[in-house]
Amino acid sequence: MRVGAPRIVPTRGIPYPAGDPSLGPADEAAWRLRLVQAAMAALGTPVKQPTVFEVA
Amino acid sequence: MSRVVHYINQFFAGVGGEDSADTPPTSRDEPVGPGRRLAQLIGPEHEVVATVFCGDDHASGDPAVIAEIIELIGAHQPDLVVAGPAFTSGRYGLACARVVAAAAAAGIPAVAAMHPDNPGLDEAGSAPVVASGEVARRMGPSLDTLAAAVRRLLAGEELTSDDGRVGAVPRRSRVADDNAANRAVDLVLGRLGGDTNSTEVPLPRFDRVTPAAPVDDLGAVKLALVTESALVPDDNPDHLESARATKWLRYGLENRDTLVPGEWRSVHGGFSTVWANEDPHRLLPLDVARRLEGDGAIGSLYPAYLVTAGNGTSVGNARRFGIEWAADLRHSEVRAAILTAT
Amino acid sequence: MSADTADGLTRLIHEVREVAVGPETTFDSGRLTVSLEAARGCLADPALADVRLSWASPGESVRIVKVLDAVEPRTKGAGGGGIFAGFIGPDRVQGRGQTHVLQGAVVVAAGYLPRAQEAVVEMSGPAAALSPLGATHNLVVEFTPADGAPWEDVDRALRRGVLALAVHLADAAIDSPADAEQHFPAPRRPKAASNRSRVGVVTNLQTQGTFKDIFVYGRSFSGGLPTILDPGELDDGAVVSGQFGHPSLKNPTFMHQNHPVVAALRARDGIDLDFAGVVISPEPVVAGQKELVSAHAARLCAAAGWDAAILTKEGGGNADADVALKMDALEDAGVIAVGLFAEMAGPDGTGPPIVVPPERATAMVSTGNYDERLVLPAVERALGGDTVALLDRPATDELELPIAVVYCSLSPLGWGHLTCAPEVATTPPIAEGAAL
Repeated sequence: MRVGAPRIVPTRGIPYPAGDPSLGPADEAAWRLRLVQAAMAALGTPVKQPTVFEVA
Repeated sequence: MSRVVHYINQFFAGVGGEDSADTPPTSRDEPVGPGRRLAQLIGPEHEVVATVFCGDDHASGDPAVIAEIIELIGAHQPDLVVAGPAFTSGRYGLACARVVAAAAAAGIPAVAAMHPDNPGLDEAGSAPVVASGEVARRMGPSLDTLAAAVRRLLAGEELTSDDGRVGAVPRRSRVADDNAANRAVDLVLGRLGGDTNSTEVPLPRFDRVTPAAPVDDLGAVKLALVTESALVPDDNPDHLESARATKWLRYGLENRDTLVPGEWRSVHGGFSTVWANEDPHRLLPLDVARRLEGDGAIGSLYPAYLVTAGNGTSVGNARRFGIEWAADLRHSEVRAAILTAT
Repeated sequence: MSADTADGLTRLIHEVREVAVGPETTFDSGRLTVSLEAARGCLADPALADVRLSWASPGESVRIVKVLDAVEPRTKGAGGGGIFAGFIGPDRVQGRGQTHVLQGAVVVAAGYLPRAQEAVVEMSGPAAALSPLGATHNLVVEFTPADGAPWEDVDRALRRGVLALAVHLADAAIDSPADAEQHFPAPRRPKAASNRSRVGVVTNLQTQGTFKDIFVYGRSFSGGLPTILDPGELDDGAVVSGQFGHPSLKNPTFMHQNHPVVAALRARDGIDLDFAGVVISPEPVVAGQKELVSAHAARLCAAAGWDAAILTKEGGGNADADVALKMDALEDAGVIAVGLFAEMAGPDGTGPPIVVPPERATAMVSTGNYDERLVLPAVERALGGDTVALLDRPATDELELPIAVVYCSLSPLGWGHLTCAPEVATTPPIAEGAAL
């Protein structure tokens, strides 16, 4: 929000923006899929200002 | 008579629009496009001896092109280089800013004109930039401002905000009388005493990023993965810096469905890379992107990813990478990108 | 003497004016002699195959590269309960009583560790004044890891060894008369009768895992919550650094022992403010946790009755957020906040200075521009390594480097005198259309 990117999907940690090592391999892959799907949903949504899209 | 060389883009040179954004640097021995009006405005004692132009993608995509442009400009032995007006056009503004910065570095006085919100503005470094309007419709008054600035510079004077000068005034390190801790206590006491303004650092002005229009047909478009997580091939063949990056890189993803641990490594110096090196998908979600491509949810995946290291990177460089990435991806017909940020 | 001032910490300062190597470690009339055998004994560990010790003193044509931690020799003396609790001393809260300080000498570890970023100290030339170690006699510890020793073990052995060596040196001064005594009362309680404002310091510690971690009473502070310390606890080594990134923006153990904001607040304590204490906070890597610890730190300060806080960080641009979030949270809670920031304005000083600025708080102190470039002249001797990692050049060469590489040069704890100012007078921004 502070840096002004228009479409933002929050992730779980700076060292692993597309993962979550606390999950097992299968759950982590599923989390990553939901994350990318959330990013795709964000890309398809009109925004006027920095907007956060939470992972479903 | 003073010799002025004018830099413009392919559009204002009359060569073409986006279809001609790849036009290489070209020189003409006369004023072209807005240069004709500029030549009138700067008066008979100064002459626009040449115009150098270049396509927006070409000029903003590869810093080496700027050297070619400067060589063409230098051949006309100018007393002053003028670039723009670039209005709010990012690639054009970036090119103008770099041209004046490079000219200044080569010892040739230079000035550019662009809107204060042009993302290229900061690339001008310490070379002066004067304000233009937001869009080409404001060409007339923008050229008036620019011509006045040109006359002042050729008279050996400095530009100030009265001349429409915009952009950051360089901040330089200085040695203060007291150490920073004591100055902090002084500032606290001042604030406790009712002073509400004092600070050593002005609040920065951040970019207002105009959001891109939504992509409603992702199943039909090309999508790119980009990242500032410093994920590179294990031997870091291009020596990406772990901090204060000065460059970005492109690595192919052709015929790859996954990123094999051990073949890739993050050289980012700002976070623990243990997790990323265990599984590079934690930085670049290629595995699921391929799956979504296979399912038809993504039309196609751009066959490479763009990467830099976002760690202590100056905002100026980061902005440049962003403009270059946008130009590069647009040129490759990519219509959407997912940036994984650390 | 009131209850508030009866306790507190007394520093017995022994000034080191000369250093030498000899058969025994001794301190006599300002001359510190170190026994290399005894020093190596302090560092004996299965993870270290070999350690080499040498003095680097102010004015010498010496460059120290790959600088890791730096520790000021201190000891509590017999019956004092130990120092560097959790590492050397037993698990006991410290910060009261007497502490012997060997001022002017520092134990400095230098060499390769994974994730450590190249860090340079100059003992002479233009950059010597940019680092606190440019003005001290430095006992430099170089090391060769044992074959097959995991790097984590090497790091641990080095940390414990350097602390032990620092105590060993200070122990030599216990029986010498002190050159100076400094007494610091414990912080006054909120209810103490005073019409002065209560001002404290919030110090963020960069906690990002192995080789980038900070220890509080011997424990990793990663995953911790903000807590309040008595400033004397910093004197007695409660905070030990194991953080080897961002050389100009790091806070080695030496800096926590000599915390510049603590020193500045102590100097004004009881005069124009009441020094309210120290809050330490981790710098988590996850955005949500940054917000959580910031809100928590602000509540601690408010609960402790602070009127104002000075905020310090450790590390690069991401750590700006930790200061900015706390400044905003404090201001929201009615506590005035002043943050110390290094600027990252690019080599020409034209970029936006702060990566993540506060949104509501506005009081900031600059510790200089991280991207400014320096030329370091060639030197006769280099310690810590043969090459400079960033440039892959011999460590004794003339080097052009960003100031970011010079150890503590932009000290987020406020040690340095650098700041930034606009090259020419600033002018108001131009409103759209005004210039046209």
